[in-house]
Amino acid sequence: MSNADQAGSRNGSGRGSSLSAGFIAALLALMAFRGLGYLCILPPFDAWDEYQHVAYIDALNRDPVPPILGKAKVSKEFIDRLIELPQHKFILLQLGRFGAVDYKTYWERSERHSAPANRAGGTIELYEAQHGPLYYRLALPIYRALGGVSNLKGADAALRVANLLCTIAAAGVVFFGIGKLIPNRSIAALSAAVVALHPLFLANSMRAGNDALGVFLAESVIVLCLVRRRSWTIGFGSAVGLLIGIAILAKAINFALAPFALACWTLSFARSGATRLRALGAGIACALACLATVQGELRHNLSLYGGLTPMQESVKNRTEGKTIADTLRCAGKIDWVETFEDLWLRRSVLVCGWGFVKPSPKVLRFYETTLMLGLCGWAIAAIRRLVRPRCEPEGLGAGRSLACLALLASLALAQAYHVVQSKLAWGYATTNPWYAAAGFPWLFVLGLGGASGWLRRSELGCGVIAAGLAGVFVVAEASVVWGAIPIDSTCASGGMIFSRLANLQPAWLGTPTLVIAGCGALASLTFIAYRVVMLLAPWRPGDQGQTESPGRSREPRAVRRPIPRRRASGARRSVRALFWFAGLLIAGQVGLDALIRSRPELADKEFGRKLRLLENKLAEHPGRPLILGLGSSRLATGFDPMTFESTLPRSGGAAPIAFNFAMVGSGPEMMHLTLSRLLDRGIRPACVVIEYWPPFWAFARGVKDYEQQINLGALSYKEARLLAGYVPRPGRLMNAWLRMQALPVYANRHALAAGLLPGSQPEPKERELRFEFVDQNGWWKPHDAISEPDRLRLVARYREHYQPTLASLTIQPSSRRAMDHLLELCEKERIVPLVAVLPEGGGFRSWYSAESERVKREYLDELSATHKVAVVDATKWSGDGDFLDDHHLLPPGAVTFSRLLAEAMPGRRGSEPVASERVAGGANAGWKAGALR
Amino acid sequence: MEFHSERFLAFFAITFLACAILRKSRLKTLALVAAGFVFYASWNAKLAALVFGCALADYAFGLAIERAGEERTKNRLLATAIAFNLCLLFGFKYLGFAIGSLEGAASALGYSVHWRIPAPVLPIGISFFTFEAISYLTDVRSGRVPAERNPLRFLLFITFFPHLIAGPIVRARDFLPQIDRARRWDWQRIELGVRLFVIGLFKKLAIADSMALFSDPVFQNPGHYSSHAIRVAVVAYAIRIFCDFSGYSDMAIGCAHILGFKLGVNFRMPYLSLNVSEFWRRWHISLSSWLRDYLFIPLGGSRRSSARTALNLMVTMILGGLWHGAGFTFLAWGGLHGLFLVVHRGFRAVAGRSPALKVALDSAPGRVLRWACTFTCIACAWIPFRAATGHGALAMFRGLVIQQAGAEVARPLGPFYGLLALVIAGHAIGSMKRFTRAVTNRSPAPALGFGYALVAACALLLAPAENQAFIYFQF
Repeated sequence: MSNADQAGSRNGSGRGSSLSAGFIAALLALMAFRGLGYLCILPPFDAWDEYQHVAYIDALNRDPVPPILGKAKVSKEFIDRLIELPQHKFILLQLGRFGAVDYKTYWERSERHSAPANRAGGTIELYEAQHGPLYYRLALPIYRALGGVSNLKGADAALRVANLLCTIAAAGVVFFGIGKLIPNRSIAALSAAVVALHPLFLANSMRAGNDALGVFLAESVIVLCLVRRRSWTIGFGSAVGLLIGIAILAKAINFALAPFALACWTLSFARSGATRLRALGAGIACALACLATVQGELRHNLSLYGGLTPMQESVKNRTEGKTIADTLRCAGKIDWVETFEDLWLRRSVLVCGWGFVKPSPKVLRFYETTLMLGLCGWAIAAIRRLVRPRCEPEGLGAGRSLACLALLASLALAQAYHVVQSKLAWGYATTNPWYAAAGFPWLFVLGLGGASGWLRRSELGCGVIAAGLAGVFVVAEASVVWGAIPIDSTCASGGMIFSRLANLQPAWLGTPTLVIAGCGALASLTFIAYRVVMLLAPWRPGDQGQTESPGRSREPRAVRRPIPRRRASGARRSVRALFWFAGLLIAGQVGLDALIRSRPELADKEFGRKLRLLENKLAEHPGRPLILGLGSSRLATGFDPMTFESTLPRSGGAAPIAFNFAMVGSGPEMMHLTLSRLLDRGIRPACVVIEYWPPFWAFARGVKDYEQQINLGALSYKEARLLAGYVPRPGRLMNAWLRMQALPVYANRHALAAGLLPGSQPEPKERELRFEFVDQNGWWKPHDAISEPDRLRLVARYREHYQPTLASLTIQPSSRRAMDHLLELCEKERIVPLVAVLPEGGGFRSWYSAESERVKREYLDELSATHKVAVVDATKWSGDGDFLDDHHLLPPGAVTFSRLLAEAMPGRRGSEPVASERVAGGANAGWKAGALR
Repeated sequence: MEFHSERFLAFFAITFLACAILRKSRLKTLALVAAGFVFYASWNAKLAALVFGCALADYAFGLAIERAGEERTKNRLLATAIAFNLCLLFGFKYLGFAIGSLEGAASALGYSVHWRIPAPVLPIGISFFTFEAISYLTDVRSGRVPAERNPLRFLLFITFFPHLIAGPIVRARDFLPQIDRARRWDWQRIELGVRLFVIGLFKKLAIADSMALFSDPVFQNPGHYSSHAIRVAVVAYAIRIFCDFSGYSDMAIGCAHILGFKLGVNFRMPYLSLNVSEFWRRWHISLSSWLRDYLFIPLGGSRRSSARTALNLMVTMILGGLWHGAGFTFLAWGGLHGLFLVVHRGFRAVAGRSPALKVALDSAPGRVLRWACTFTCIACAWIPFRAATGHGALAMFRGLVIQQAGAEVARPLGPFYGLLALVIAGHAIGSMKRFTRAVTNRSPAPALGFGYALVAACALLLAPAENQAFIYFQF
């Protein structure tokens, strides 16, 4: 038995809470304000199956007999009212035929003041009749009081508020439990804060549905069992059994509480000593009380559905005659590790409703790693405990940790049952992570307790893991809410967003409520952060006794060094001030860094702006294949995507769209980087036009060249590593990148100041001017025309620059490697590449020596042979008058070139390449326009 | 490795950790000396060795002076030691200037001479650590300070990295006793250090470097700009040099506080001075007090005749000007300040004899007038200090006095006036000592922390794109 458990046994249940009432109140306030914010933002019935739950209550309102799965239907009046509200596209799969519309149509109709479309008839099944009626009966008075179906919006909001209160009560119970169970104040505070910040725990439970009540009852059982230190009495056992029964009636997943209660009872029984008989009686009483509570429901289910549970998937499987052998066969085919990783890690911070807006994969990966690190701490602690038996992490203690593990295991088993049944019924699993919401707090408690095992100073490890989790939760919630708002408000801007969100809600959930909720949440969060930081401060002057772990030997009070009162108070204030300073500075840096990363157009203007334009174009043309131009300023000025698009042959299917993503000064290294960055952001072109510009292959770039060309600080680690692979001294590039990560605000100050305080930085860097004169398709048009003398002057200037290179052309190994990597990436991602040699003026072409021409030709042949890539040599496609300077095309020349390039696309239907001097290629030479689709 | 670079922050963090770990050990001194070497070697490792070698030579001179029996021997040893330090200073800093001047003079007389001399790399901060060594040796000679026996402690006094490059010039009697005292951990001192560092950072990055954008182009080509642009440039430079140097001093003092040492205050809002004499009591206090104690007073100070006092002032200020740099422009700057001081002494004597004038000058309008005159004189004196050549300085003066047409400053003047208002507000708040004390002593810790974070964030965010070195690094 652990020290904590022993201490618990010694102290009985009289030990005070290690969480102060004020702190718990702040945590609850934080949840309440955030919940209120969710209520204002999440449109009615946007949450998972919410309309079905409300329809269940409506059905009870019409007929007190609980609806029966498979027979009950959603009432017509309810549907009529429901479709007056906009619905998410997933719900439209069910409600679309009744005339329900999505948000976009709703707002358009609302602006035009037009009438709703005609409604079709028919019915819809009330599939949530699978749940027991307890919650719905309790919610019925609220529904009635708010006017029921005649005021559906208001009734739904009131039901949500009731559920929010239920969730807050559940959280209160959890905090009470944490305070009682974890003697170390710091770890208790961190655990409670993490639970309070967890988005899914809050968001799932506050929609209209039986989850909140189920979670509240489950948490009550869990805390009751865990807090009980003395052996169980018959009265206690009966109470627990009764509560478990009620919890099962509220939500069937609470069947999982039975194994947990059994584990707790076993632990209690093991240490009950002389009172074993009484403990045995308590166990029996618990089981009987539970059975007595649920027997009616079980009998009802057995008689109606032929099983203990009316879960619709089980009922379907039973009806279809699927046997246990089918179930086991189905279970054998499931990748359980993947499934549980998905349910307990990857999707367990998912917030919001049918929008299914997810935090970025990076955030989720960080969450997984952090939580796993915490849990792995248990292994370290276990090893340490073998060496030093008195040493164990500052969490729940071994016994209670085992009980928690039993809880998580039984919840996971319940989920597994659902996974198998749903896969058997529908062919895919429909299990959701929030079914096990009652287990989340205890997963975090275990993780943070484990984290204390990493380091001897337990609070530090715990603090690091808690900070990681809290950071993930805050970022996830912010990003998801931020991402969901445009869906609900259909990308409105400014005040229109608030107006639209408020329009969807009852008057009392309007913008003022949202503002109050935001301010309240921020204030509560600040207070909680302050309290936690103060608790964690390792050098609290004059406050040495805050670790109350009873298992630890503490220095006797009498031998502590006295600290003068005035001095201690001043030092304490200084420590606090420094802590606040460091915390706020780091938070500011992290926040602004996040801003820079989320808006690449701020710090990496050329890439960011083009990315934004491309995203807009893709959003305007969803589902159409993309042809992307990658290259230097020559392609940036010479490739007109609109002309290219319109010239491409049209056949069945979606016509491709083109975008010019060429960036000034890009050689093969930058093109490889650009394509990788786009792929990482989920943009996968069907085809890329890669410019081959010989001088850029003859020039090995160093760190300074890249520093001038792009903002290294805006790259991710992976991107910086990629680029470092092509410079002579990779360490220097990584050092430069690392230095910029140390103080990202300082490194990106110019871009930030220009973005946040326009006009404060009047001298933009040259690279920041490149995005000007770029059209919606990424085509850069800095000049419309040029006089002949100016053109000749420019040609003469470039002659000095390029002639020596072109006279003795070489292919640098780094450029060759980068091009190979780029083409390999295309092959791996199944992107069709096309290498294009852009037009050059007569003067420019004359600078090539015969040897250089040979080198160029051989390299193109090599590319085509090695990578089976099509090569279009357009060197002589344009006359001198089409150029700005013999190598940059003017807009008219660019239009001609783009048209000819589209016509010369290899394998263009029904014709050979037109005006193409030379088209080479292997396997991809037979590339069809259809391949784009 | 400048104080506002990421490298320095990493270096300082390591040094701080080392000092925190070795707090109760004598190894802390060794760690700080090593840190000083690393800090200096980040510019030039060979010169770092030279600085440390010279410091060891001064250590030996100090011991020798103390142990010498006869007064005469002591004086000779002191003279040798000072000559050694001045030769070092002259060799590195003034030799090129002296030979160039001689060549110029010979050329003016019709002789064409050209002496080939190697151009040595100037050790950064040589003027500072040379003066520190001279003050130490003089104090040892006069018995004000005992010679330091421990070479490590002496090395730390000279090469303590916060003051090594650009001051403040510390005295042995102030610094050496702190080496033992610095072992106590004091959070309030660390907080004070952080506060000073953050304020210094803001002065340097947000104000001084931004003001450089308004002054530098004009000083580089004054003939091209209008009188208005020149006036803006003069004011901008006056603010820049104050914020740059006082910002550096604040950061140095802050770093020292964090490491447990106290360095003397170097600036006391000098632009609030009502006369030039007061200005020198507020500006670069460590240098002005050094010049007073080791130059002006030994020359006779103000105890002799008015003429001799005036001469002493002129000599002191001209040498003070030359201390800043080897050039006629610095000479002119020192001379101008000497002249201002002499004129001020004369005017003070006149005002002392006329009670009505004294009352008028002490009235509010009189004080404003005095402040305006003083600021104008000081700002004008910065012109030769900043100008690259004498011709450039004259062109600036001409543009300042005689209205001339020309280009305006290329940047919008909004940020200039904004920063000017900020500096004025800072001076106004700084002069309300009771208020500032109440704010710093009574504000709740979160408010203080928020304030520091805000100032630091603004400093980082408002810093111009191009980094500017500290002006006083060249001295």
